Amino acid sequence: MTSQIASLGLHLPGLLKLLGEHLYSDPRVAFRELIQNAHDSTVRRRLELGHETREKIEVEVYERDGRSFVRFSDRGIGMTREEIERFLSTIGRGRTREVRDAQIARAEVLELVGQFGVGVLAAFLIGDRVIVHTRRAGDPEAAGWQWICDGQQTYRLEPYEFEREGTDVIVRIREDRLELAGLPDVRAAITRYARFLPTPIHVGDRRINERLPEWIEPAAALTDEELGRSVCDDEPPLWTLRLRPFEDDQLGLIQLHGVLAIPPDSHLSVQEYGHVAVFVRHMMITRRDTELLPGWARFVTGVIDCPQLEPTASRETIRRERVYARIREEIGGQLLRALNRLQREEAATWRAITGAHATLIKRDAIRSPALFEVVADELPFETTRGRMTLPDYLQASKGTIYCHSDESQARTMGLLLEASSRPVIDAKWYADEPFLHYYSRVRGVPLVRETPTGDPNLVERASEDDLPRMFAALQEPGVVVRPSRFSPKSLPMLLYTPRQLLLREFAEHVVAHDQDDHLAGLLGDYAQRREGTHRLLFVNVDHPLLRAAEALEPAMLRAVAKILKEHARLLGGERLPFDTVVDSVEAMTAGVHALVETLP
Amino acid sequence: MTETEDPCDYLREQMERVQRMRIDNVRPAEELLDEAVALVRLAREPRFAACPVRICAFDQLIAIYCLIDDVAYAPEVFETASRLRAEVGRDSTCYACLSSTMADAERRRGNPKAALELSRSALADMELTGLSRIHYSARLLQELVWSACDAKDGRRAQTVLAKLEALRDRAESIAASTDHAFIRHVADNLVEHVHESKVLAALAAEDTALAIRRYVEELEPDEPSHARLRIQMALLEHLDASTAAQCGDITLDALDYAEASGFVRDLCETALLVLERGLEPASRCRAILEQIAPRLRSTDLQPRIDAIGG
Repeated sequence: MTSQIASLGLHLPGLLKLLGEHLYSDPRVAFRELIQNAHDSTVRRRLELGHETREKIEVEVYERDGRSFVRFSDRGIGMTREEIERFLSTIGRGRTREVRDAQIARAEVLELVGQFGVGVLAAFLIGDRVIVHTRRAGDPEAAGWQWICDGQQTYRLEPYEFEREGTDVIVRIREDRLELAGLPDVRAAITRYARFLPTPIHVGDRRINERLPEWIEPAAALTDEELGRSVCDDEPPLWTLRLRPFEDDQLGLIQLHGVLAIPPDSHLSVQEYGHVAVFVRHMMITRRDTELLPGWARFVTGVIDCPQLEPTASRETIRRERVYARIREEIGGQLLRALNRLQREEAATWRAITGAHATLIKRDAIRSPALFEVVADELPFETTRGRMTLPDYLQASKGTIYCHSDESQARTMGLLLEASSRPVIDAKWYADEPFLHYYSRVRGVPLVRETPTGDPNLVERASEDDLPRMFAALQEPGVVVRPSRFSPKSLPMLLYTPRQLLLREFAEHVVAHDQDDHLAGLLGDYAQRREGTHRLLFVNVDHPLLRAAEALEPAMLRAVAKILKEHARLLGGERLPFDTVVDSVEAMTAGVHALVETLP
Repeated sequence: MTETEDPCDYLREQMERVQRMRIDNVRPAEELLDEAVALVRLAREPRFAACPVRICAFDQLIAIYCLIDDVAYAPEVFETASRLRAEVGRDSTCYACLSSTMADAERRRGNPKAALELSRSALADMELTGLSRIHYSARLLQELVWSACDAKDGRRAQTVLAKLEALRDRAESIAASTDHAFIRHVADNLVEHVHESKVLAALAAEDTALAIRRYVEELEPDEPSHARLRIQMALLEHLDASTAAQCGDITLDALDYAEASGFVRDLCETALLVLERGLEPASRCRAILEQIAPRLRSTDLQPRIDAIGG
């Protein structure tokens, strides 16, 4: 058999279905595509015919014969029969792209949005019939035309008495899309996509793009705060930053415009930001690009408009090309420089930001040395003396970070540290402790997580030689008794229970009482992993009561030891089970009773 | 939030705190065990007995053990997850979530058929609707992609990938009209699942070149995550010195992340893969094995460690 070269076949209805139903994920993009066609038509009238027109686009929703329709009317360049056949009826061939390619040197071509010649397909996402009425502008003799397509392979084209220049596109709404085609829904969708287009757009009786950002229309422009508000759930942002065009060695001038905004607050997991709405040539492509902002900027949101970004064919996302990477880098740089400036020059605003977004910032600063340097000394922490920044805290704590991440440690640490006039940081919230560790490493600041074991200066080791009888009386399985000297000096003993020990005891309890427990296997493993942890009883050897008790009769000495030890247990702040508290109080009572009985 | 508010809200907040710590790897996994056990202790208090979020609290402990050594703890993980699953209805999101955990445990303990069957039956049995169905179907479908990848069944992987892509499109479509956090979360997760599954589907079809291209285009720029690390490990099995060079800093990226996150087994396995394939950084990998291998509970890696002279 001889080889042959043949053309690939195309099944147009299948392709139409594929493009119309699968190219776009949200049927509402039909409104964007049709508005964009109307806008491009208006711009081309100016470009190609020199007509200085900003004629409005009108969108009307109406019913006829029991069916719903949406009409898009423009006073743009319109189409000749030849253009209808070459462009409107040929999928993948777009007149706008050809105009842009031919007039690439003119700045105005940046206003043209269309590119792929597939926009009319989108109409079939919401409609089952598309009717186009059009008449070419600039030629008084031009005839009007009517084009009708039902989403099949064929269309009907016929002369039509169209009273004006421009184009009407009428979409007959599919029965299964009626919920998208009420006037409020149409207005909301068009506002979302096209609110920055400079061509006036009226939906029903209301204009949806009365005021535009300053980079599009300086007169009566939207303020940065208004723009920020539009991306901050309609709340006033704490701060906004205007993004600026920039020059790149290889890519030339990048027309980056936009506003970044810091919302009034954020919540871990539930309400994080770090995304921007992206407009290309003033048309919204995506509400939520999550990669243009640096990974550390989860407390920032915004809106970006850049004609040099390239949308994908569905125009729902941006192509990750070189210019995209460069813009991402530039946004990160502009944001970081501005935050640096803000920190130096607007202390109150900066404090409001670091306070409102402290959790997200702490988490992200660990991953970004650049962000860390800007925020490290401004972030608030909860301490035993209220909210403090780290520089203030370190001044009060004499240069060491003392923190706990569990209530069971809070009391012991508070007692020891406040006795020497040092505050403790409550670091039990999500990223506090990792941030403090990072700060300690980067800034070379000592960090003590668990006192009294972590800081030998707070609890000085002593000898038990002076109190041999008391130490003998204090011995108890599972408790290491340690002769010490510490403040407050009025405290004879301090029982310290490491958190891991408490958890180990819980795990052991579960395993011991119910081998059949769901979690027995894993908890048993945990208990093994934490073997070797024990309670520490710090005994303040200089305490006068201890010294006096050393000379008591054995029974009295044991009673005093018991009372003081139980006192230390209750004072330790450990979250004791009710039974243990009762046992402890009973033991103290018994000790006091024993003492009373020894009285003459 | 204080404990005086709705107890279930309080427990949910504590659960989410541990969950975020785990997902964001703010502390090494073995240290996170303390947080997880503290959460279990809290969740077992009688005042939380009626809170459905208890199950999620228990699941944090399971998940952290999986991060430490999912092969060694697979029997305990399977047992715990299956008993917890028996407590919840099929209309609970926990049913799908725990099924996915069970399937993963089966796969990791060398029962691929059981894993496949578990994921399939859970997909058929779960009685979720709306976004929850999309979200949890995606998790189970991801398990199916892994199963197909293990079995080198490219066609099956491609079929599952197509289902995931369809789910992603639905989620994106719903998310396009709202900023609701959960909806965005579902859509974002699906985008990630699809990125990951595309690499796995290429590996299942034994098309390493395609897997590399997909990894470089869609996964490499993503933030590090445990799922991404596992894909990197799967990819490393197919790389040599020249193909690894096409994947950016894949070995460093995987080692750094596994080390910083304290994923003991994954770290050892990554170091082994690097050494077995003659990749770099060899000396760092030897040091890792020397230091970390004694902490491994699973024994299945030992012959490989011995073979490379570790």
